[in-house]
Amino acid sequence: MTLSPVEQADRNSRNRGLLMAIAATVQLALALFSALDPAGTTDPVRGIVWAILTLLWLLLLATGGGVLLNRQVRSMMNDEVSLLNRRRAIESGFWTAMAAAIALYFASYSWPVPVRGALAILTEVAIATALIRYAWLELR
Amino acid sequence: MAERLANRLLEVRTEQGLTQAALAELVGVSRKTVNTVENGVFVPSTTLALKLARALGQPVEALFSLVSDD
Amino acid sequence: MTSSDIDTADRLTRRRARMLPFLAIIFLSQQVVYFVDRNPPVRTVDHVKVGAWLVLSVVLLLALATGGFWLKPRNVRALMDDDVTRANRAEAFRIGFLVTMSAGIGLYFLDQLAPMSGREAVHILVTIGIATALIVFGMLERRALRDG
Repeated sequence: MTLSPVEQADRNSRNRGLLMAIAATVQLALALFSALDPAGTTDPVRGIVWAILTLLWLLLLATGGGVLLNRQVRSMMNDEVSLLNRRRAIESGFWTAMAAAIALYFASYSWPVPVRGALAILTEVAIATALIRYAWLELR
Repeated sequence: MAERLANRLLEVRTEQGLTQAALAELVGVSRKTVNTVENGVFVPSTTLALKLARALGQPVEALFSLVSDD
Repeated sequence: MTSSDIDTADRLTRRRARMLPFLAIIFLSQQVVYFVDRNPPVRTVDHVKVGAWLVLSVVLLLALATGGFWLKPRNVRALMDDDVTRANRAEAFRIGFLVTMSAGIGLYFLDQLAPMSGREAVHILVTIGIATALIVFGMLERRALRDG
């Protein structure tokens, strides 16, 4: 049975929300690993994987994804409500990034985390926050 | 004096026998957007309000109005 | 809401739009002080420097979040925080977030060429995030006020 564009957009939006929720969980797990094993963040392979994932999630947050989809469906998936949800999500990510950075700054006096560990934790937590908020707003 | 946007979108849509999905398709938005506008959760842009009015064959003032909370 | 409230709000909105990019430049240029002497803070003056950076960062973030001018009447502040300003602020945070995260990736690999401490890296990111948001917000507000 062929779905109408609205039904496709609905289904894809729900899937996108679920993907965001899963991605956020992965990001938080990575942040926890980075915090528990900061020295491990200097591993080049881990670094490249981290950079690719970070860019991927940033791209999803910036564009809403669905680049391979039909233009009409994509437009419905990224309509006013979705754009507003994404803006709110990114704003949460911004505040989390600032708070996490300041917290890491002062934590570094008693917990000298290596630079890559600090950067990994900060970006993972900030992006996870944005993804969680986006997922929550899209799926509710 | 606090004012908010009220709408008759649900009423007019159901009078015309349209589902949320059908109206969404006519306007080019997601069904969720139609739902959140009807529930007053989301305030549509002027463009969207005009598109909704056009899709339902109504003047925009017949769909949306300002009401005072006092 | 009187016409003088509207005039005051208009005047302060223009002032804010002019100030924001300068605040960003001042904030950015002040950070040089922290990177000239990269030793951990041990003297009292070092701790005061760090405290000053924290206070300034928090004040600038609060100004971004609320629009500033906290001592002005509520009517005037409400006029200064209209739909356009809120949209501009949201866009500033969006760009600030994307730039900060991208800078994080950049610093991660830059560390190979120019090693830095975790503290320095997060200091740079906070600075970049706040400065970017200030500049974008200021530019968008100025654009909105043009032709006025």
